[in-house]
Amino acid sequence: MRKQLNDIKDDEIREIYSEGTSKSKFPFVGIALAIAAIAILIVGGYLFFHKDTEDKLQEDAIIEESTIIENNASTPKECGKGEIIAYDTVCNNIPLQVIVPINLQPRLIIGDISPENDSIKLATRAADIREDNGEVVSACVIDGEVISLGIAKKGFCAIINNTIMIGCDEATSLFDESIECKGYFFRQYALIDNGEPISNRSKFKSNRIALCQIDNQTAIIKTSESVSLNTFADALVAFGCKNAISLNGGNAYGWYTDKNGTHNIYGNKFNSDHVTYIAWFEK
Amino acid sequence: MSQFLTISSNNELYRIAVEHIIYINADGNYCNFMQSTGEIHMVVLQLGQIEQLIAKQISNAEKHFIRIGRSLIINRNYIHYINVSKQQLVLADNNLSKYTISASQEALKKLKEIIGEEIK
Repeated sequence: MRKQLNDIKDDEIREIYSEGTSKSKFPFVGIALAIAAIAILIVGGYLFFHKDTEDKLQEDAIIEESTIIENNASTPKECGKGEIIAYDTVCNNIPLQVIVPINLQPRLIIGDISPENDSIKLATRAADIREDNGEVVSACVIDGEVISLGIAKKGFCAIINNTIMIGCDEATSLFDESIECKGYFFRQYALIDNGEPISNRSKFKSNRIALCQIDNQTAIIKTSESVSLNTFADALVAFGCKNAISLNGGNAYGWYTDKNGTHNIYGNKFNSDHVTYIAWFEK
Repeated sequence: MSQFLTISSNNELYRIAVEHIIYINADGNYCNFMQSTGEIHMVVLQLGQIEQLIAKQISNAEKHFIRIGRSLIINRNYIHYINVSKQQLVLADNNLSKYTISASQEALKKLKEIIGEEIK
């Protein structure tokens, strides 16, 4: 059976081979491997059935020893190292960059941060700040402390016990829960709610950045070209996002640090204490 | 002698010579064939199903078609220009009509490598 539609990612390609055509440039390699496998089975079978008792006792001893070693190695497994996976894709003809934080700790931060802080692996601007008084637009909770109130934007992100929840609800109980659990909460424009794109009146086109939920993963997805919120939402749905909210887009500053330690910076930075970031820290 | 790709459903049959297919792009449960005439023909099949039909019906299919990501099959004979950083792929037919398509950087990098291998 040939591969189906979803067995290929957008950053992959494959030549389409006619049925019955060998993809291998070395068709005899497969035959040679099969002969080698049969030979190993025959030799293995011979050795297995012709071992004398002494060998068997030795073998039992070895097995026992290795069992003991295995039992001694019962220290808990180390938590997987945190990392960022970033890749490009295209959905609905919109080039997207997908940045996925793995095994990192998300937090909401108010104030200036920079890639020089090695513990931050990914950071991007989050909630909007009012220009007149420097306050966060709509409800915001940081470390369980209420920073601002309001439901001007229906989309929300709650970070409770290191878990990010994204949705669209004016009266979500996660606001209170984020206070009780000393978590984080902010609001932004909702893009997708339970797999459905949310229509937005604004037709303004800009580079866009979103915080998205895809299956059980959270990702930052950004465009490298100017699109409207509706176009962006449609592309995210096509990509498979179930929930998404818009983040500060345009030339909003952010970065991720890849596995080589390179800081991949986007947007323009202006030093100010009146900015919010969602950032992923090493645990 | 041309090879033909034939797509038949209960109600209709679509038959197109391989050299007249510039690319096929997915649009949900539908696919659009960009033909060398400049016309687009829509079929009610997913791209994976079309990929299977190509493999079944076209001999030496690998000399004609490359699947790029989830939403594109291109006729490799029409590749005219690849710009990895701009995520741009331009296909051009004999009439020098150009079709510009977006694809991921990684996919285009691999495509560039495959086509580059042909000249070695």
